[in-house]
Amino acid sequence: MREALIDQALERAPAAAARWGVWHRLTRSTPALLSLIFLVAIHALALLGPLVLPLDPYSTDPSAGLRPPTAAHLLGTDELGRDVLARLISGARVSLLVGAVAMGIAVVTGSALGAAAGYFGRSVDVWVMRVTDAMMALPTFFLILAVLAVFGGGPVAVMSVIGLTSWMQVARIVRGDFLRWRVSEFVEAAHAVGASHARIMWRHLLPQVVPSIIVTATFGVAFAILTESALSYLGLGIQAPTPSWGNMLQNAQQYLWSAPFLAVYPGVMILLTVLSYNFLGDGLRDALDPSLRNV
Amino acid sequence: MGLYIIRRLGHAVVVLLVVSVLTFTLVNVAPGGPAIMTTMQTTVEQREALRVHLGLNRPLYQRFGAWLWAVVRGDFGRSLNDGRPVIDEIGERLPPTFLLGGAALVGSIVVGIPVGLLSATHRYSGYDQVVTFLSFVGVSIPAFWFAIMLILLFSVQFRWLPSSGMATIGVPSSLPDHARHLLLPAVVLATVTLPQLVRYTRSSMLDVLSREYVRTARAKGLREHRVLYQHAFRNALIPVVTVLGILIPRLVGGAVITETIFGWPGMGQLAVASAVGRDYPLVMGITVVVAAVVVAANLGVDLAYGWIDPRIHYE
Repeated sequence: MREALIDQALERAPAAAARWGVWHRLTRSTPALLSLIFLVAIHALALLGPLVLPLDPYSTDPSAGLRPPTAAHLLGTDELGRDVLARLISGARVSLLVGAVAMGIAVVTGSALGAAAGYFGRSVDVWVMRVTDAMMALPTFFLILAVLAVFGGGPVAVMSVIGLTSWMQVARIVRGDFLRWRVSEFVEAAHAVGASHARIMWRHLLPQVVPSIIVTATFGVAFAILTESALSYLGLGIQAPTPSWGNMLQNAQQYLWSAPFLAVYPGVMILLTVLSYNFLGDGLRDALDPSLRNV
Repeated sequence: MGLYIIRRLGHAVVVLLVVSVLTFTLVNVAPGGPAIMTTMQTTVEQREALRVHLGLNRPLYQRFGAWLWAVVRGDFGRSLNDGRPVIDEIGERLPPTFLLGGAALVGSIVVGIPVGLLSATHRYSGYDQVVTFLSFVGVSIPAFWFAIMLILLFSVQFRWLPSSGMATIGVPSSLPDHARHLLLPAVVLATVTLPQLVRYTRSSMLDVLSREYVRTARAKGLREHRVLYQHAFRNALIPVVTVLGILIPRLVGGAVITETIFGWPGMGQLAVASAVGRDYPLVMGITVVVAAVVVAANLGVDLAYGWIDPRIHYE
């Protein structure tokens, strides 16, 4: 009870006001606002897909392959006569999901390791940070290739392997903040009223780090989408016939001369989505935590 | 300083050991690992003979020990694909990758640092906004798509530059010919390093410009030119060196895609081929060698940092 009251007094009241401030600061930046609108639109399209465009991304019609845009097929057809727009939307589903889940894995892994390192310090800190530095110094893309060579592609393998090779930034940030706040008065107060380590980490320290995690995660989603598309492009990620923006590009490369537009669309989608996530991350950084500027 | 180098070397060895354990375990315990050969349609005796021949009857740690001892002596085994020693295949592929990566890195430094500095000294100007926007685009553009677009434009449309390989086949090797083949891949690979370098230089310079010693330099009446290039510029470059440590692993990763698209006969292309073909000895050899190169590069960056910045003291 006492703890709950302290929690409320410390966190609740300023939080609501701060949230409005963040929204205001975020939407004041034009690139961030445009990015947010684009991302909402593309996510909605990916979710509602079949409702918006009732065309099957898998149904083939070899007699109508590689056609330019028509009223029936707004962006034309690919080499098997499949509707390009339907495949782009279906691919959005895969690419966005892989990006989000991979980043989720990275955030959970990085936060857990960073929190343990920053909170417990000493040898835990030394070892966790040593592993983190080692991982950061590694050409992770080669590791990813090796893992996928062994386990084969597919969404689950791709999400896991991207997530487990991109948690280092989160771990460093969480560790730094835990280290800083561990010695603060509100943590001392929590100790004094008998809160457990787990409670202090979860209720008192973690909320301090959430803004930085959100910013890092936003940049991380951009990186994960880019990595997934590269892997699928190389034929080691999402496998055909499931469309992803990356493997659509791989396909399109064979028809560069006869149907160059096939290679343009998926690339533009990747570029716009990744760019939007990066602009949003930048806007969020300015809005949530001005102290991180220019880092 | 001597002690620091020794500790740092020890650290590098530990990292490489971790990579070796990871790769070896991955390849050996995974479904489809070397054990798959022993389940082919063979008699029990044949299978047993094969297992003994490949050493698969020994426990994992013994096999790892034997593999590691061989690796230390430079023996990575033979490629499953063509039976050639893995070390020879890698040896052939390293120089082209160094050439490509070096060109991209040097180009990024030569272009990126001045662009970033100007961006900082003209903060919020139209130029700064364009540079910032372009660096965001550079970070976000998928390298393989950018490559395809460049090929469409410069090789297919204008026919100015070759779209693949290191040299024109059937023509005597010449420097201009190599340079023409290098240009597009190097530009694509530079999208990994250039935008980061521009952004980092810009923010480092902005940080330095807000320091007291810059204000002092201005207060005592130095010309702006001198303040910027004698006082601020040199100090702003020091942290830029550290970003190279982060960029080198990414550069190596970017080389995989660039080399595959442009048919550049380097490590990246070999890595994709070995991964697609499940050539395990080659996969393991490449991962370890690439990790060693990157760790060595990072060691160099760390030591250079201490040499450039006299404020750093090694305990």
